[in-house]
Formats: sequence, structure tokens, C-alpha cells
Amino acid sequence: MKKLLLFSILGLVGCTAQIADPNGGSTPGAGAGGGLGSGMFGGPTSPGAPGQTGAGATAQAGPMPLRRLSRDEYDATVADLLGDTTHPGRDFPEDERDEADGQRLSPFRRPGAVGSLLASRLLDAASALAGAADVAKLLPCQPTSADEAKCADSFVTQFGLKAFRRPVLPEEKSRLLALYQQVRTAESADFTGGIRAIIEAMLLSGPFLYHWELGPQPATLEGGLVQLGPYEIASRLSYFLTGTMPDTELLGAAAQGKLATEADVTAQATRLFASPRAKASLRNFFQQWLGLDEMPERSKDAATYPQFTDALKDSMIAELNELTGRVMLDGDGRLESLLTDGKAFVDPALAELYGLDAAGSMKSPEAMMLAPRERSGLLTRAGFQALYGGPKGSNPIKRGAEIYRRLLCGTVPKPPANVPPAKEPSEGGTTRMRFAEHGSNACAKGCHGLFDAFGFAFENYDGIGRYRTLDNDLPVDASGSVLLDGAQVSFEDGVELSRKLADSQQVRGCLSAQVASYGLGRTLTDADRASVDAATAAYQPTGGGIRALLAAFAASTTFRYRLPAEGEVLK
Amino acid sequence: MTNPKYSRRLLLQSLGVGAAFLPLLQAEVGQGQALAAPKRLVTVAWGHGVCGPYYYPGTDTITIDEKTGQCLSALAPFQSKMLMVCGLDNKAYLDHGRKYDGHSGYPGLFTGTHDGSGKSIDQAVADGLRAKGVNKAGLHLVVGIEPDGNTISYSGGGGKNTPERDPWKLFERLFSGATLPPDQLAKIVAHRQSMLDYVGKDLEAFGARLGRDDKSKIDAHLQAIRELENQLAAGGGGKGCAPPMLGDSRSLDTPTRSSLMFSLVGAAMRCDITRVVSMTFYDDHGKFNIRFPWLNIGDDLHPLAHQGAAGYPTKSKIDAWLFSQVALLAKDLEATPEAGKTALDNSVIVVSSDMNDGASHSVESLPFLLIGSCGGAIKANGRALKLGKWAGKTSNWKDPGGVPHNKLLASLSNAMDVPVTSFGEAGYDGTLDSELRS
Repeated sequence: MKKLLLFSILGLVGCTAQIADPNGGSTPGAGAGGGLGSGMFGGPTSPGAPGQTGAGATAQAGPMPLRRLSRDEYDATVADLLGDTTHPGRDFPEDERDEADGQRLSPFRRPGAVGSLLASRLLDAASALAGAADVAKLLPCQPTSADEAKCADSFVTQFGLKAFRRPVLPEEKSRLLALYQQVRTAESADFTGGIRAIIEAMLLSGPFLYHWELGPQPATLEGGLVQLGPYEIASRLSYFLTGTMPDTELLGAAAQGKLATEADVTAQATRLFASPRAKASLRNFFQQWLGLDEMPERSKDAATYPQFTDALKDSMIAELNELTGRVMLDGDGRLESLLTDGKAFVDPALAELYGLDAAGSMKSPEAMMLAPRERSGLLTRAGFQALYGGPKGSNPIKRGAEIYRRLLCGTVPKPPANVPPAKEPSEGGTTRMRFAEHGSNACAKGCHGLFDAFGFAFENYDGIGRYRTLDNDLPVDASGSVLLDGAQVSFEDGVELSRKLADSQQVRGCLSAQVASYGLGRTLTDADRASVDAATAAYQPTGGGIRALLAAFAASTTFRYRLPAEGEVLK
Repeated sequence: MTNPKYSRRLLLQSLGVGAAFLPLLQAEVGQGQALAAPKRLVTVAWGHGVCGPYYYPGTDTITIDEKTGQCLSALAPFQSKMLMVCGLDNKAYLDHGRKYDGHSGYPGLFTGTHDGSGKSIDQAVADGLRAKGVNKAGLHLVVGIEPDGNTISYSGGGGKNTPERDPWKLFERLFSGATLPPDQLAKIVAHRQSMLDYVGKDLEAFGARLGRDDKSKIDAHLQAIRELENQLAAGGGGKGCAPPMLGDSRSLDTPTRSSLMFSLVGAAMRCDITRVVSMTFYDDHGKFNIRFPWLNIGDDLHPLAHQGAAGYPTKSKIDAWLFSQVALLAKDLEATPEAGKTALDNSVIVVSSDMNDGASHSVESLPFLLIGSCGGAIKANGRALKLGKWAGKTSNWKDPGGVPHNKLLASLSNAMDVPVTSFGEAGYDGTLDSELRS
């Protein structure tokens, strides 16, 4: 532990001077984690946590609240476990927005508690999955009638290791075998029917449904922290990087104790990046981080934007997915590329919106480039601007707030509801003039001063992201300045702001915090700060891209350790 | 062994094959003893308030005239069985600085708390009835009309009750007992009982060593498993009662989904499968893209509601459609004779919204409309009961009444024979028992 601690602090001093702030807060712009809004780092460390008061003095890890498999995780897991292709999780209630008192805490969705509705959906799913399972393929033995019991026993051991993501405990095995017996006798089921009942039961059990692979053995304590066991690491790593259960190699590494060191974890992470599921999982992260999954519910005023059809929405989202995919998954994985890349991914409809050659987009889609003066990178794409534009116009306040929240990890104060809306275009003036007046009426400094300029920068794009130089017959002013990395940074327009955001340590730090919140499946606490900063340090312009960030976070203290929970039995 | 395609098969039966069982089921009802008169509670809500001038009467009597008829005409047949309760504020929100937080109003609407930390009235009454041994296995139905969104039903401790949003799944849940041959049903029930029994033991062991907060998640899971066990033990739903025919339209546009949901809820109540229902129409949250093409209205509800008075003529048509859906349920219950009265007389449908008006978002003076007298516990005779500062007033419908809506919630509990002296957050004690009764 001592050694690990030393390593992480050494790893950080070069990049941040903020790490030992005893209040756990950091000054905007100073250092790797600097300027992360309080929006990402939530409350204090969990009460009752031993020896976690002096920040920076000891290695720190946050809590690990019990989490259920998300809908996507459930589907991916049963696909890997049973070869399922029916996606039963789609019938479950949606995972919940991460929010309290109507305020979003993070852009990510979190699985909610199991109520009677989900419990009955889980029963339906388990029954259907067990019924459809290819039992012969799953069985480790081909029993004669004499040794069926023995075969059922070894099935529980071998299949259970995968289903529970850790070895099945003796009392669990006896419960499962008792169920097997009961189904065979009371329901006159044959051997296969008995095995199906075991599968069904496993799919309904706590060790399958929840991320908690410790089992009832004592937790390993180091200082005031619990060191995650090998199977816990295997699962955490697997769900973080591939969104599914550990593969055979990871379970094997866990069995051999080969997940204990940072180097072990890094090696496995590197291996997992090659898995096809790694892409899907990272794509899922970008979808939620940027809110791309919210596009279907966006609507525009049909009179103002008749061309904003479902088909165009699909093309817009396809472009954003393609861009994040090409840059972050297949390309160099760098934030600078994501925020400045000029390659267009268009179909004829979107090409037309961009003023590109629609016919050419069909013939040689690879050659399509956006006009560099008009657009560069993710934020300037029509999809992003349409997503956060208004129904009849640009809505710079919404755009600014979303960029501030998602890319700067800022906390956007709740809007007071008794403020009159911005004036209509018919009352004259550009959108910016009308919204600037609105912003000065409402919470001016504490709210709009924080984020409006991030939105005004994109005034060259109308409500569906078309480029414009005139708004309401007046010239567009997209210039301004924002507080970035502790300094006031000015820009001419969204293209220039994108470049400045791309160079910002603060934005890199925020992306790192978002990855952490996604990977841990919870709101961050101050105890996570050092680990997040370590990941940010690994994500520098000359470094290894987003995968370096992911791998560094997977190897960090808060990923491999946790605080004991209040009231938990540790021995 | 459970048929893996159990659910799908059931669905097919409900849509076609199952019709073969209908005469039998109806015969069972015919031979059955006259039902006693169970009391029932339904809560219904949608976002964005009502258009005051199209809803509130000038007098102390509900009026459905040329103007208010544009909002309430579908409820005209039940006018003499309704009670409008005016002047109720969401005080818990107001006292926590959430006056204009109507867009996040659902957590407080039926819990009487400022953050959804308590049980909503439907949950509290369902628990109370169960504890008394009344309708022990009865489903507490939580239904959502939209395919996504929030709920008005809270389970206590901050937990939300996820609404069932799929009419076909709701059908299976309610009427599986009525659509399968008895021997097949018995097999499925036995198998499910074994599974639930296993899961109960497994979860108890799984939760044993967890910390306090984690353990409470497992406890909630266990609670859900026990609810399912209770329902199974009671022999499934819908025995001796004809399920509604869903038709074979798979189009799930909002009007179709809504009418299916209301007819299923009506059937569940008539058949006494459930006595407590919560129904949520639209997300609060100020969500966009809620549209009404079947009303030939192009506007999106949220910006329309924000227009305030300018939007009333259009928005009241949307309100009217929402009330017309509630009227489907009222009609269904009114057409069901029960112990010398109708099922509607023995029930109370409580309709409200997350705010009073879409332009202000204020949680003062929430619109509460009650239909049915809950077995005589409520004098629902066409009155508009104007409370607090509303008393004697003819207009100013946006003014606060000063009476916490917790008192109405407490009285609803009392009307359902689950006696309380207060409901929701501390500090808003008391009831409206005498006001509702006389």
C-alpha cells in the first residue's frame, strides 16, 4: 500500500499542484484536475469511513455502493453466458437518470431499485432464457442416468463460476441442487429440465444481478480501505471496459491471483481493448456523456424547421457516432482530434444542410470535408447543435449550459422559473441580443455569467445546426470570452472556442472525471480526486489517447480499492 | 417445466385463442355471489397544470358550461358525482423554496413531502389495507401511459414505483389466471413458487453481510419478491371475471395505449384484482416533444403551456382529452352495479397535476378533482369545495389557498379506512374529513 501510494503521488506531482488541498476543493485551472466543477465531486466521503480525513495524506478510494446490472449489461451478459440474442433487458424499466431534487448529478443512467414490476420482468426473462438455453452445449458432462446428480453438481460449479463471476459457495450449491431435486420430483422434470431450473434460479439470484463478487469471505483491509479481490477486479474491469461479464481469460487470471498489481490490471486492460465489446462499451459512454441518446425525443417547430425529420435526426446522430468512433475508438483517441476534426460523415440530406455536394457524398463519402472556417470538431456538428438548440431558434443558453455541464463538469444552477422567457424574434434583434437581455434579468452573474458565453460562441448555427452569418437580418456575433484553466480566454467563434477547449487541461480533467463516474457507476467524492487526476495525467496531448486514460483509471486506487460501507460485516 | 414462451403464448391466447374461455368465465361471474362493495382509490396525474378559466367555476358548484365545457365536457355525465377541491397548496415544496418547481412536482404530489422521501397515498393505503388483512394479495397497480417518464407513485424512503407501461404485459399480469387451463396454470404457479422461494433465501444470504444502504436495496428487492409470492398464493388474478379484449392492434400510439390502459384498470377494479391504482400520464421534468396529432394540434405541450393565457384555447383541448381518458374509467365503473350502487360510487378517482398553471410552474393551488364518493366517505355531489383563502372567492384562481394538500391526502387514507391524523412530511397535520363529508 505504501508503495502504491508513493507511486500515485509521484505520478501526480508533475502535473498538478492541487492535489493536497485539505478542503478537497481545487482552484480552477491549476493542475490536472484543476477546475473540475463541484458538479462531479459530490459530497464528503462516506460517514464512518476510518482514517479518511486528511486528504492527500493516505491513498484514497471512494465507496462502492451496491449496483445492479444495467439493462445493457444484463443483455450483454446473458449473450455471453448463454448465447442469447433476444435482448430481454429491453423489457425492463429504463435505468434511471442520475439526479436528486430535479437536478442532474451526472449525464449517466443508473439502474434503479428492484420493485415488483422489475421483479416480475426478471422472472419472465429468466424463465425464457433458461427455456431457450442450449443445455447440451453448456453441460460439462454427458450423464448416464446413474450419474446425473454428479453432473448437475459439476454444472453448478462450472457454469456458476461464470454466472456469479466468482466461485459458487458451498451453501449456494446446496440451495441450487435442492431446487434441482425439487423440480425433478415435484414437477416430474427430466435431467435437462432440472438443469434449466438451475439456470433460471441463477439468473434470478443476487450474485448474478448485482455487481458484488466478494462472496462471504472476509474483506482484505489495507489501511482504512478494502482491497478488491481478484474476482471483483475481474468484473469491475470487464464491465468498465467491455460492458459485459469477464471472459475466460479474466476469470482464469482471477483464479491464479494475477490481478493483484497495477501492472496486472494494465495488461488485462490493454488486452480487453481489442475485444469487439470494448468499442460498444466506449460508444455507450460517449452516447451518455454527450446526451446523444436524447436525440429521438427532440422536436423542432415544424413551421421553422420542416426539414428536421426523423431521418435527418438519424443522419445527425450517425455522424456524431461515426466521429466519436473514428477518432476515439479507431483513431488517436485524443480530445484535440474529437474537438477539431473536419471530416464529414454525411448522407445526401446532411450534406445539403452542410452545403456540401450531396451527389458527391454518395460517390466518395470518404472525401467529404467540412469547410474549416465554418466547422471543426464535435461541437460544431449539426447534430450537437440541433440536440441543444431550441425548437424555433438557436437557444445559446441551453447550449452553453450543456457544454459547461458535460465538458467542463460545471454545476448549472437550477433556473428560477418565474423569469419571463426571452423575447420572440418578431420583437427584433439577434438571438444573442434577446437572450443577453434575458440573462441579465435572470440570475445574471451566478448562473448566466458562468455558461452563456459557451453558447454564444455557437451562434453561427441555427436551431438545427445550419451555418449562418445573419440572424434576424443582423450580423451574427459569436465572439466572447470564457473562464478556462483559470484564465479568461477569448475567441472569435465556435471554431476557435473548440480549439481552445481542445487544448484545455480543464476539459481533459472533466472527461477523466466523467469516465470515472461512468466506470464507478456512482457520483464521485473527494476521495476519488487523486485517482481521477492520475487518469488525467495519463491523458495528455502526446500520450496514448482515451485508452491510456481508461487504463490509468482502471489501475488507480479508487478503482481497485473501496471504502468499507457503514454497517458492513468485513470479517 | 415452465414453457419458455409462456408470456408470448399467453398473449396470443388473450388475442385470439383465449376467446374460447370467455363464455366459461362469464358464466362463472353469473353464478358467483353478489360482490360486496370494496372501496377503491385511483390517483391520476399529468404535468403542466390546467387552464384555470376553463376549469374552475365562479360559484361553489362545478359548472360545465360553454367555456369550462371545452375542458371538462367528457366528465359531464358524472358531474353530480364529482368534488372539486380548491385552495390546496403543496406546502412542503413551498417551505423548501420550491414554489416554482412544478416541473419536478411529482415527488411531492401524492407523498406530501418536499422530495418524494415518503410513501405516496396509493402505496400507504395499499400497505394499510394489506396490514388489515383486506384484499391481502391485492395488486397495487402502478401504470404509466407514456412509454417513458416519471411516476407519481413512491414506495417510501425515496424509492419510486416503476409504472407498467405495456398494456399487453399488464394484461398478462392481471388476467393470466383467467386465460390458462387450470392444470397448466397450477404447474406454472408451482414452478414460480419454487423460484420465488429460492430467490428469497438467496437474497437473504446475499444481503447478510452488506452495509446498511446496500442492505436496504436488497430488502426492497426481497419485498418485491414477497409481493409476487403473495399474488401467486392468492391464485393469480382475474378468476371468475372476464378480461377485456385488447384487440389485435399493435399500434401503440398514445390514444391506443391510453384507452387500453384505462380499460385494463377498469377491469382490474371491477374484478377486484386491485383496489389501489396510480396512473401517470406525462412526465413532469418539463420534457419536450409531447404532441397531440390526433387532436390536430401541432404544438408541443411544454412551450404551449408556457404561453399562459395566450395558449389556453389550444391547451384546454389537450386538458379536455386528458379528462376524457379519465372519463373512460369513470364510465366503466359507473356501468358496473355493485351492492345497490355502482362501482364508481364505491371508488374515488383523484385527478391532479404537478403545478397549477404551465406558465408559472407554481405548486400553489393544485387542481384536485375527485370523482366518486368512496363508499359514502366523501360527499361528491357536484360541489366545488373552496378552502382557506379561496373561501367565498369567485376568481383569482392562481392565488394560494394556504391549506396544505397533505390534509386531503390524509382524508383519502381515512376514506379508504386506513385511519391517520396526518400524511406526509411533519408539520402539515390534520385532515379535511369533515369538509369532505359535509
